[in-house]
Amino acid sequence: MMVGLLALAFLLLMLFGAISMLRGNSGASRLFGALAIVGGAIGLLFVRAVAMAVSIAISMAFELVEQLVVSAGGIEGLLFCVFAALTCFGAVAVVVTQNVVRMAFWLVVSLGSVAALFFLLHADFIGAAQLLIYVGGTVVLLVFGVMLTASGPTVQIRTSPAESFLGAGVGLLLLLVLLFSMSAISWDEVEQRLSANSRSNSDEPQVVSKNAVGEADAGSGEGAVAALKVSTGGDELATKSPTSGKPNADDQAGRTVRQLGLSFLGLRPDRDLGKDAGAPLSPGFLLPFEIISIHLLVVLVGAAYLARAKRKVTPASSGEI
Amino acid sequence: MNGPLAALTIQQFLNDQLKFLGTSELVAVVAFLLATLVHAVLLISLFGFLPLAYIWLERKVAGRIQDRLGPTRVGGKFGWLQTLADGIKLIQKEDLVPAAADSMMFRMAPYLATVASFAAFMVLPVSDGWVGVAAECGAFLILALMSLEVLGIILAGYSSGSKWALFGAMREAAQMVSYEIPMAICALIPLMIAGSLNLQVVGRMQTGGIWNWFIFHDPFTFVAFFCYFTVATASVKRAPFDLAEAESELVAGFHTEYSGFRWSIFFLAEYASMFAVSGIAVLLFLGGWETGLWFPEAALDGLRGWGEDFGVNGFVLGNYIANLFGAIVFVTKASLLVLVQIWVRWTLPRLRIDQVMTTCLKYLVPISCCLFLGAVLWPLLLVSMLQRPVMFGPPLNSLPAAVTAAEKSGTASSPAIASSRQVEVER
Repeated sequence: MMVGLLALAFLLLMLFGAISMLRGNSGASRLFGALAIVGGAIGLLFVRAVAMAVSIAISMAFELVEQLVVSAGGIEGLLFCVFAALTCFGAVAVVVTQNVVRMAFWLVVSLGSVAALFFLLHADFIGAAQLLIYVGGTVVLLVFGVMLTASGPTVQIRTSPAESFLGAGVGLLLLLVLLFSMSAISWDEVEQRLSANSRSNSDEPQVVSKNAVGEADAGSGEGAVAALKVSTGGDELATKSPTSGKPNADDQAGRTVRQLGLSFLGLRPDRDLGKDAGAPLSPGFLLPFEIISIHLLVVLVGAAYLARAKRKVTPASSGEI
Repeated sequence: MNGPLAALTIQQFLNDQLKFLGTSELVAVVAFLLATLVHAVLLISLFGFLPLAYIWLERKVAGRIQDRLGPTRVGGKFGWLQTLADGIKLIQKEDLVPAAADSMMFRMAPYLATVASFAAFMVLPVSDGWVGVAAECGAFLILALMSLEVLGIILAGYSSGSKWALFGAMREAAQMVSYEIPMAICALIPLMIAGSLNLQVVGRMQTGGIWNWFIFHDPFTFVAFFCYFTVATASVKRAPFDLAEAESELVAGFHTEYSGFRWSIFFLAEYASMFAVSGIAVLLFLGGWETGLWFPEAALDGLRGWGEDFGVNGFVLGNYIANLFGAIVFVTKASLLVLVQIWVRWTLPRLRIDQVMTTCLKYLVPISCCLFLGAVLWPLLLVSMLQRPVMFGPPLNSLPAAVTAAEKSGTASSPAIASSRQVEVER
């Protein structure tokens, strides 16, 4: 359409040039006409070339996207790569930057990308918790603390060579631990179960074998997320697609809230669903959660006690107290 | 569009329409990107238009309260286009960065605040099934996203390299961190009654009459609404809680050093957040997209499911019209709450910072905790005294009136109905 209009415009220009060359009564108008013809011809060629280049570029871009998507494993895989790269980039930038507030910003990038990874893995609740606790809570408090104490040595942090050596060593050790635990999981089994879950549209609850989930649980965080996915896929609490009446992977994506809540109370969909009625339920997560929150409360009280301005206690008044 | 699937519907539709492009992977990707684009454009237009209207409203209301006229000339009789003209003027201004500022953070901060404010729009359902991202834990997610806006403001104040801005940002941080607590507790009360974190389910449970709105569910939710609204006003730093930009003491607070476009998008974010918190209030307490009256709801229920499927099962004209009406009702309700916020701003004097903190920690937190406890105990009391779980009307269910009617007549094949029944199955 655009190409056609442009070509028409250049043809008209050439026509105009021809008329002015034939009927012009001065040298200047003839010269102008000749120039218009030449310019129109060049323009026509140019339009053709651009149109061809654009069409080739579009088809190449489509092919590139297709190849990229296929090699990354669908659009979700592609987005996973993007956010994983962003996470790593943000983390490296936190280490490299020397200004504390900029560090906080890069921390936001890194933690936000981790939240995005959780969303991509259909763990909506964990993703939202990540945003609320780390990005909205911890980083805000960090910046707030920096603002209250903003002067000299706390704003710029320079690491000595010994410190960076130590830090690199600890980081390397952590990386090794992660790699070992990742290699300890039999990913084939998890993969099989995931694909089985997405394929089988059975209405009866799928029994997830205890040890497989336990194994995935024991592994890295990613394994736990995969186990969570497994548990949401086949159980009877998962909803059915309104259109077909069968469970559809897309509909259930991210519906982890109810499972999490039930797990808290002791009904764990990943363990208890296939059992007999009389069998004892697995322990819930409520008690550990409460213990952790009491811990936090104790820490808070301790911090408040330590940070509170000490009153001057004179000997006389201490006698009264 | 049906139920919780709204976010996927456009993608499904495009998936079927774009078959000619080639392989299924490519079609899936293009459909995904196009659906994302459609959602984003729709949300951004809402995000951009509402602040324009609200800023005009603010100036007009302020003028009337102060016995002035407000804007009168630009764009005809009532100065409709005043905000747009101001926006164009602001874009043309020079983009100043103070020499003492941390340049990168200074430039970045307004965008951080705006993006956080926009992100809240993604999970805010404007009508039954019209939501950018249909998240199961939408209420939790929206509270999390709204808590990110403070980060942009703190960074703006810190990186400005100015004492006024730093003070504004510190006040803002202290205020936000403490007001998040009563806000979450107040939001928890209707969520607990609904038994779901899904904002669409919460909205759908309040259908079928004004007595089903959660504000009239029991006396505790009635008080909780006003408590939530107070906290929400504070959380979007509106007067009387606008200590972060107290112009009598701090010049302009955290945005003292900003000018032009960056200054204006701070305002965009502020007014958009006003709509977002009001929208949450409408969804949680005021019946969401329902008028609450008998006649229009009966007419809309008749409209749902009318027409032929367009591409995707359940993508019918009747649902579209009903949802459009619902969206208009929702935006109107939220705008009325925004109007109240504006009215409060020009009526009440500003609190001192210690008064702001006292209001939160000594009054609002205990009040919201007591309300939560009361709302938990209230159904038990009713069951023991009256043998029924709710005071007025029929017991709550997550099915809209259309479903009940359809079940009576025995035709329960529409996907909208199936999807809402699925919610019940889930419960």
